[in-house]
Amino acid sequence: MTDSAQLVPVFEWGVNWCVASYQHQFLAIHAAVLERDGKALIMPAPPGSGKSTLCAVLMQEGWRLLSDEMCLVDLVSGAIVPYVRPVSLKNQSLTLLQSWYPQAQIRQITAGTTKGTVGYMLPSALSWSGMQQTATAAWVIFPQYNAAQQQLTLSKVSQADAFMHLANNSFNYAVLAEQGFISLSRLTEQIDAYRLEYACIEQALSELNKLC
Amino acid sequence: MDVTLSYAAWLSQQATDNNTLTAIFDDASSVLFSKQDHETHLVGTATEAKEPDVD
Repeated sequence: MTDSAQLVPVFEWGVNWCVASYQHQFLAIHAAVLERDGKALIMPAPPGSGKSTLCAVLMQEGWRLLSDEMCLVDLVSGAIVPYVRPVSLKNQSLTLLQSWYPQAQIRQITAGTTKGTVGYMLPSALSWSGMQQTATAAWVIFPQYNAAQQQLTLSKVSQADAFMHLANNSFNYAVLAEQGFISLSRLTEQIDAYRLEYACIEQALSELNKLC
Repeated sequence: MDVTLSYAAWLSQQATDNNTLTAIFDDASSVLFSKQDHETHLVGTATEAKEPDVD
């Protein structure tokens, strides 16, 4: 490493890698997780889908953050276990969040990483104080930001399709094998799943507030 | 002899059943897991779950 400014993004990647590779007491799914009234909203999505932006907005609007990156499902209890750390924001998302929530604390803004400019939004006080408090899976939303989208669409996803998407977004489903299948089956029984395609974050927020 | 063959067939069937887990959800959709090859499939399709790369 030649640039000390890269230290924090590399550290973040390393911590995530350690959790994904070694914490097999959990089923680890690449997803943002937030909680309200004890119920967890899980948002699995690939990079570029707007997952972290939506996650940061929901947190600013009062949802409790469990993680912006990893949904940890306890293999024994089935509970969603918090993995609270700052929300990683990139490029245009950083600028937008700063303008929408000027009071939000965004630290360690670093340009020139492999993902472009990266910054970290501090979790809300509610999220820090609830970092030992598990939640029950209730909704799975597959978000997709699309600037060309004329109208927000929210479409129901079958539970089996949701299961397969969650398995494909899991870091250790294949490692856990039968345990992973049983754990994910139990989680899938608890949830309603939807695909959300949006261009306007306010519309997405309004729709999620109606749904959840 | 017939009895022996039937018992062998029954054993084979049990082995097949014991090698597959099925989850049937409230909306009647379902998934299968093969304990033998550790593959997961939607019932009625050949979609397979794979472990993703850590990004």
